[in-house]
This record gives sequence, C-alpha cells and structure tokens, in this order.
Amino acid sequence: MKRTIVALAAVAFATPALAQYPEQSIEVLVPFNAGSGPDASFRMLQPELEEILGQPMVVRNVGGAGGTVGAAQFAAQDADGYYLAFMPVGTTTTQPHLRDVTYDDTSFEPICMTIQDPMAVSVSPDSGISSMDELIARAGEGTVTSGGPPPGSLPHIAQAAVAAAYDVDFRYVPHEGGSAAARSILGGQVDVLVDPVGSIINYGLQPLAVLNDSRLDAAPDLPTIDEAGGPPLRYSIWFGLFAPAGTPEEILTALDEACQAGTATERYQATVENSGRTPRFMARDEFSDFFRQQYQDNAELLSAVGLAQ
Amino acid sequence: MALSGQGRADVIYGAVAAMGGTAMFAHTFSDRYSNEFLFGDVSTTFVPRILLGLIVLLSLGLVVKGLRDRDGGKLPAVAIGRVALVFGACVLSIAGVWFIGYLIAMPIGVFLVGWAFGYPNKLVLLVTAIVAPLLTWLVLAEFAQVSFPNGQVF
Amino acid sequence: MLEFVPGAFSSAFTFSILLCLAIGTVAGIIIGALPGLGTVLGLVMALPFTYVLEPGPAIALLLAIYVSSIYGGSISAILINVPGTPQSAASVFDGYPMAQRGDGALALGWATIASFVGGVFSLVILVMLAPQLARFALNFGPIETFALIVFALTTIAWVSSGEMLKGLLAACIGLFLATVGPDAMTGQVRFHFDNLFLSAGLTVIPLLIGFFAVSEILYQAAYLKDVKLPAVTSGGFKVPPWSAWKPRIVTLLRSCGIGSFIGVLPGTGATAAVFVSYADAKRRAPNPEDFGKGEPSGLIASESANNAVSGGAMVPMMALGIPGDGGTVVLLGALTIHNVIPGVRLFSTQPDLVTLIFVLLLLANIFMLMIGAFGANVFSRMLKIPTTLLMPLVFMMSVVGAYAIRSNPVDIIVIAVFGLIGFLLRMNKFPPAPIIIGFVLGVPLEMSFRQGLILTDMNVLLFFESPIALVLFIITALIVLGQFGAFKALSRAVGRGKG
Repeated sequence: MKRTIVALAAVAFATPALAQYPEQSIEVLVPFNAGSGPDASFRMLQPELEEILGQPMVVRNVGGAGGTVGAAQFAAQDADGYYLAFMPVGTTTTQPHLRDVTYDDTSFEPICMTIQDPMAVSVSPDSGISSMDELIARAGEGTVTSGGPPPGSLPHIAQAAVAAAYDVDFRYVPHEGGSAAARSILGGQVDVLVDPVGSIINYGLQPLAVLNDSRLDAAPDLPTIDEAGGPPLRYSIWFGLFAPAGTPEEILTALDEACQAGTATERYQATVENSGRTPRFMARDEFSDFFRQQYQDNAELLSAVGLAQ
Repeated sequence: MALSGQGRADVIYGAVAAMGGTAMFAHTFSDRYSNEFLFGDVSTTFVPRILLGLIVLLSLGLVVKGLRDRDGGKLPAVAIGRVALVFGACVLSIAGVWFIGYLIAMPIGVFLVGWAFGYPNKLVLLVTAIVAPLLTWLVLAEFAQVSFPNGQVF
Repeated sequence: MLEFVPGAFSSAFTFSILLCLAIGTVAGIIIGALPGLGTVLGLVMALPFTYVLEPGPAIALLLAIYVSSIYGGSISAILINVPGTPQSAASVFDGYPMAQRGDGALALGWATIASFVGGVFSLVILVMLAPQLARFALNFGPIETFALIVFALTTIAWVSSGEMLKGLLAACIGLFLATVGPDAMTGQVRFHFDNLFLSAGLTVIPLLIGFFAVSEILYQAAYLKDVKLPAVTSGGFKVPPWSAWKPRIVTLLRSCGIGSFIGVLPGTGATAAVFVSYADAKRRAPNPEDFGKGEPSGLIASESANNAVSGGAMVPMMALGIPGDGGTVVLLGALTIHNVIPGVRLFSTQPDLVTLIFVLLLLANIFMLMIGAFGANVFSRMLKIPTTLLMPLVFMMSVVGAYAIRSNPVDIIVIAVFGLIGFLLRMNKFPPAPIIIGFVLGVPLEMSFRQGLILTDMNVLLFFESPIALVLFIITALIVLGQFGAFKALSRAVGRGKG
C-alpha cells in the first residue's frame, strides 16, 4: 500500500510533458561482473525501480579494471534517459586519478545514492586483539600486515590512511578482492582488513572500530573510531545511480523521485540490511555536491598515499 | 640439408615465437612500466619477463629441434584454400557483427561460413542462416537478457 | 543436521521446486552443450528469473543449472570435439576418439554416470565435513596456494602427448597471456597498448572458444572430404557394463576426491582440477599410452572431477560466505538477494535451510542423471546434420558466447585470432590444453607468489617453512624428477638395445 501511494505520488509530481517517461525499458550498466558486490547491490533496487517506473530495467554487466571499462563505455552513451549506470565510489572518484580513463566527474550526472556502507578496521577473531589500541601497539612492536583489494581501492586507501593517522606501518598484501582477503585474515596469514561492516560480520571477522560519525544499527556494540580514541577518519563505500552528462532535467528529477521511493520500501531496506549493507538515500542535489567533493577529496588522498599519477 | 616437413614447421614456429617473445620483452622496458608503485614485492614486469624469457628459450629450442629433424616425415595435405575462405568469412562476420550489429550481420555471417565450407544445399543454408541467429537472439537476448552486440553505426 | 532431513525432503517435494529442478536441468544441459556459453553465463541468465521465485525454487533452479551445465559440456566435447564449457576441456582427449570409432553412445554413458558420481561424492563431503573442511582450507594461504599451483602445472607433462617441448612452450604462452591486463598486485595495466578494451585483460571462455571451437572449425575446413558427411555418426546413450566399470572404480573415486579437494581450496578452480585429475589417472594407469586415444578412464577422470568441484566449491561458500569459483560467485549473489546469507552464522541460525540446500543439490544431481541420459540421445540426433552446416552454427554460438561474458569486443576478436593460432598450432602437433592450463593458472600463480614475497619480506626460502607448501613442493619435485628419470631410463634402454 505504502509503495502504491509513493508510486502514485512520484507519477503525480512528474511534469505533464514527461508523464510518458519511461516509454521503454531502461538499460542500467553495472561495471562489474554478475554476482559481484556492486551487481548484487543494484539488483536489490531493481525490482523497486521497475515497479515504480513501470518499465523493465535491464542490467548490463561490463566488468574489468575496477569498473573503468564499463564506466568509459557508459560515459559515451546517449543522454536520453534510457541509459543509466550504477557505480560505486571507486570507479567514479578514485580510479580516474589512478589511470588514464576517458571520463571524469563532469562525464556523469549523479541521480541519487542508494547504499553507503561505512568501513571498519577488523582482525581475525583468533588474533587476541580486541581494540584499536592493541592493534596499534602490535604495529609498533613488529610487522602488521593488512590485506584487501588491489591498490587504489577504497579498502586500500582506508587502511593506508589509518596507518598514517596513527603513525605506524601496515604492510599491504593485495588480493583479488575483499573476500579473498578475508580468507587470508581467517587463515592467520594476514592481520588486518578494512572493509564494510556488514561484510566483516558476514565473514566472521572481529571489527575493532567503525570509520563513521556514529555507531551503526547493525553493530551497536562497535565503537566509532572517535570513541576508540583515534583520529576522525571517515571511509565508506557508497553506490549511486548515474546518468550521462547532458540528460534532460525532467528525466533526472523523475529518476531521483523514483529512487527515493524505491529505497524507502520495506522490502528494499530489509533485503539490503539482511545482506549486511546499509541502505542510504541521498537525493540528487545533495548527492551531486557530495560526489564532486569526493572526487576532489580522493584525488588528494591518493596523492597523500603516494598513488596518484 | 633436406629438412623434413615437420622440421621445417618447427623451425618456422619456433622462430616466430622467439621473435614475438623478444619483442614483448623489449616492450617491458618501455616508459609506461617505469612508474612503479612498489609494495615490498617485485615490479609489475618481473613475472612477465621471466615468462617471456622462457618463451624465447623454449622457442629457440624448438628451432634447434626442427633443424636437427631429418626424418620427421611430411605434414598431411591441407585444403588451404578452403581454410582461408572459412577464416575470411569468420573475420568478416565478426567485424560485421561489431560494426553493424548481430541481428543483421550474423545471418550474413552464418551463410558466408557455410558457403565457404561448401555446404551443397544453398536454400537450406539460407533458411538456417536466418532462423538460427534469430532464434538464438530471441531466446538469449530478449528472454534471458544476455548482452549482444548492437553495432557501432546505429 | 540429521533431524532436519525428513523436513527438508518434504519441503523439497513440492511442485514448484520439482518443476524448477526439471527446467534448470534441461536448461543447464543445453547451456553446457552449446559451445561458448558456460556455467557462469547460465547462472547469470537465470538470475533475473529467480527474483520472482521463493527461495526454495530459486535455489533449486540455480543448483540444477550449476550441476547440469558442467555435465552438458561433455556432450559437445565427445560428439564434435568442442568442449561446451571450460571444465570439459579434458573430455575431448578421450571422448572424441571414442565417438570417432563408433563408441559415442558408450562415451556419453561413461560421462553421464561419472558426472553423477562426482556430484554426489562431493555432496556427501559437503554435507559431512563442510565446516571442518572450510577451516582446514583456511590453512592454504598465499604460500600454500602457490605450492599447489606449481604442482598443478606439472599436469602439463601428461597432456602434452609426447611433445614436451611444445607443451611447455604452450604453457608459458598461456601463462603470459594471463598477465595481459590489470596487475592485481599494483593496479597497473600491462600489455594493453593503450587500448581501453584490452585494459580489462583476457578471459578464459573466449580463449577456450578460440582454441577449441574456432580451431576445430578451421580444422574441419582443412581436412573434411565429404561436404555431406554428418557431424556425428555415433551417438545416443549406452550404459557401460559393470565389467568395464570394475577395474576403473579406483580411478573414478580418486578423481572425485581430487575434484572435491581442489574445489574446496582457493586459487585453482574446475578447469585446473580436471587436468590434475586426468594427469593423475594417466600417471597411475597400467595403459597410459591408450590415453588420448579413447580410454574411458581418461573420460571419467575428467567428467567426475569437474562435477566434484561443484560440491567442493560450495564448501567455502556455504561455510565461510567466500565463493570458491566463478559459479559460486553468482550463486552467492543470488542467495544474498534472497536473504540467505551463507557464512559462519547460516549453519547455526538456519540449519533447516542448509539441509534443504543439500537436499536440493542431491536432487539436482539425480535429475541430471535422468534427464542427461535423455538429453544425450536428443543431442546426438540433432548433431547428425552435416558438418558443413554445423560448423557455421558453432561459429555463431562462439561469437554469441564470447561477447555475452562481459560485452567486450576484444573477446570476439580473441576467438578469431586464437582460433587461427590454435589451428596453426594443431597443424604442428602442439597440444592445445597446456595453453588453457597456463592461462587459467597464470593469475593465481603470479598473485600467490608475489603475496608470498610480501609476507616473507622477499625471502623466498621462507616459502619452505610452511609444512603444507613443503609437502607440495616435494611431491612436485618427485614428479618432475620422475619425468626426467623416465627419460634417462628410456634412453639407457634404447642405447642398450642398439648396442
């Protein structure tokens, strides 16, 4: 019932000229392989959007190179509202500073954010470490290794920032992805993983502190980094819906409203939370500013860590 | 200095592989790989260089083997013309599929490849060339939402 | 766990679940048999359909496709010398020669039953030992994984059919091809020559399509004498007699074990497992010279191993929430969307659901056996069309399959380029399998090696401190020495014979 009301409201607020949009199915590009994290994150939203917009949303997976291959293809698409992309923070705001890509922050029109997973510093439950201070103490005594996806990814940047802020060294061991790194943590070969809290809990790892303003509902006993006495670090992996630059204003508004309605449904919230992720809606205006700010911030971050071109 | 057919082939293949390997090896010294993010392990060209080195070594070994092969026998007769025709048809089809799109280019491609093979009944071939790609597209692209090339021109 | 079995069985025997199992099995066999599609693509195609289903039927559909597509690949491997999936790459060695000499029906019988045995074997292991196996597998860190992959590379010797030099060269080329694209250790891109599409690197299915499917097309173009000759003259389904099974039981069980074990471990995957199993069977066989000419042991070694990997790969997925291979990545994603979160907590909080999943996996294997026998017959009949008409269709599926994986035009170029290269190599007696083995193992080999270097601070000697790695290195060394030892003994014998 609630969904129908929200859907009706979304349609009612669309301007008469665009009451027709969308007239046919919309292709959504996910620049990662099917079944991966970003792919699953979008597929949770897909049924909601399809219901609200009344048209199929066809997912097209173009994986490769941290999402840059798909994103580059997407940037060249027609801006008619029938090609959208669902992309994470890495592909849109860190990868452009790491390698030569054909797009930048002006190539896309941000529509809305749908998920924002704050990351946490985690260790193996068998490690005997139960607080950030203990971890830092051990880093001071000897070598602490940290693992995660290839360099340039958010987990990598986050762990580098944590180490830098505490003035210690983590030796980074790149893996194919977060789950491969989790395996090494559980196996005791690597010590630390910085990853979204939900994933950490699913892997059975021990989170020490979350890099966020406030505690998460999913982990009420997990202190924030500030509470743990550490520096004010904020790192999260977010996902957003994008349109190519130049998409008409009315279409963007319609999509923004559909996104707001879709992320508000109980089914969406429940599915996302169940999987260990944190649903978070950010409307177009706020998300636009946030996106552009992240693009700048991450450029500086990457330079600070010694990675930028 | 009569090399057998097999020996000649070995020499050619070995030489080509050795040259390719050496070229790639030289490429690993280009500027693009000099900007290193070192993480306490080897550089990004370390393992490729080892592999390329092995390739060059082994292919030179193949050349030597070929040169010493006096009684390897002749290679069986090959219908080179038809192979070239079929391969040409394949390449054209792939180019067509990419630039014009699957729906138009694939039927033409299937027909061309079948014709190059010498399939006698052209009518059956024509029907197959139209029906099979269309059916595949209906089931996979429309029903299962698999990605097909749409063509660059359109 | 056992107390949930009756309940799980009764919830499994509902119309919707049984229907999904049937549809999934049929779809899986077809997807597997059609060259170029493959298990991962099959699961991805089914994914949208599972959203409208309840968790039970959704899981049934996916598991049926997962299991049956692995088996389906053997059908085209046996009948037309083109593996339908990467996991059936080793089934062409003995399957196709069997079909060529008129034993096609028997070959399909061997393959179907071996696939079933492999699937059930690994399921039993999954049910009894999943958490413990997962825990044990965690001891395989980067260094141990590196040792395992080095060991797996020795299989090249047994699939090179006598041409060791060419086999090694092919393997090195395969290993090198794996380095094209992003270097996961540094994020840098290698050998892409500034091409955006190439910056994503190469992927196994287009290479497989090129080396096995397109090269077969060109091979037929080269040698086919009769344009009206049917592609398949001997097909159908015939169960091999017990007298033929009896001496091969040990080989069968060992292959199941190898497949299950490698499925559980990180890094290697089904394609590698199949070659390891084949090599092991050949090494231990009393008649190794028959392998590659239509020896059933080779076929069952390959087909039981690849289905055994399916159960094995589900061990880390179910017990840790960490996928074991490409198929389980999609399974994991699908389960997540249905609010089933595999991992440490699933076994304790939803044991009934876990039992249901096991029961569904068992039923999927049974459906595969029953429908597989039927499907083998149907496919054999369908493939009786002339080769000259079939090859263009194989080409069509090759293009479709290559592009479908990741919508990257490099892949459809790859099938042509490597089709030609594969054909040329075949003409000069290069074995095709080592290139695939090298390619599949290339990334995990380099990655685990360099991870190991980081962990040991560049001190390679520390690699030998790990007991598991040490054991694997010793086994590898023994195998390699055995190979050379055999050569030495042979040359001595030959020398004695001449003198």
